[in-house]
Amino acid sequence: MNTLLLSLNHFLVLGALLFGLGIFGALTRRSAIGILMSVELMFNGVNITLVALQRYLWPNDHTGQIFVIFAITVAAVESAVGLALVIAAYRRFRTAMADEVSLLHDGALAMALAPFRKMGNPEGLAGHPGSAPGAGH
Amino acid sequence: MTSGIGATVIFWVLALFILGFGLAVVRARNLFKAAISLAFCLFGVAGIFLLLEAEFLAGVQVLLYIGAVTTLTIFAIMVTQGIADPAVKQLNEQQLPAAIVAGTAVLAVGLALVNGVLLAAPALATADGAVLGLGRELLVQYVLPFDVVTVLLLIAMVGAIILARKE
Repeated sequence: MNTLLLSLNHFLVLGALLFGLGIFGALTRRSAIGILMSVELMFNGVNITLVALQRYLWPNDHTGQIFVIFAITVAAVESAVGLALVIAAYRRFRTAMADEVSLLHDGALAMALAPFRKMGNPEGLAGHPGSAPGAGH
Repeated sequence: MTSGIGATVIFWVLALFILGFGLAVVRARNLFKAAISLAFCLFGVAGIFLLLEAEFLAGVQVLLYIGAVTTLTIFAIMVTQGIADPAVKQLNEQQLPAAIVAGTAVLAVGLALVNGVLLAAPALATADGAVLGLGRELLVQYVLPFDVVTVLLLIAMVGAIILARKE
């Protein structure tokens, strides 16, 4: 019964990989909803780690699972509020792309970022000053 | 349950399933497909919970994550029209820095694993009645956080309505 072929490390590595995948997605996705989905992946990587540690190291103590219950609840809260924010931003800017939503079009931040934007994409992202209708007050 | 060749095979199948659909969540051109992939990926995580004898969590995962969060995400994608259009660029120009950051994070966790005592796989004790103990701990030892989280849910509900309503 105790010929262990599956070790704790299998689960920990899986959780770490899922977490890394989530980080990558959160940094590369342009849409705010995509970023939220990537954050969900990160939550799940951490949840796998918590449950695995609880199961292998403290099998008769359920604190790890209780942490996961709270994590799932807070993730649901984050998702609801985050998506409400996305919808509010969409109504205001007519876009849900995180790199186009900016109120600092002619301000210092936009000017500071301009050379980097040109470097990354010669035509510029769609988020150039004045290109987002409804953003001009 | 976490022993034997069968569990190992199930683990590897689930791991490939999770990471494959996770990759789709991160890379898919169509945001709608990414949301569907997220549902499958979370289903795989529920399977991992079952493998770890956390049956209650597997149920919560399916009900809350797949049933509620993914559905909510799909609704938001549909409401913000044009966002799931495959013609719209979904990925930004930070691929390499993002890969470096994510790789560093995974490497850091891996190093912690190698250096930690965890590499010596501890003997697996048998767990007692899982759901019973879980409920008892949740409602006795952790009853205050439990109550606080219900208040948090109420606040979030009101906040989401206020944020998303028309002015």
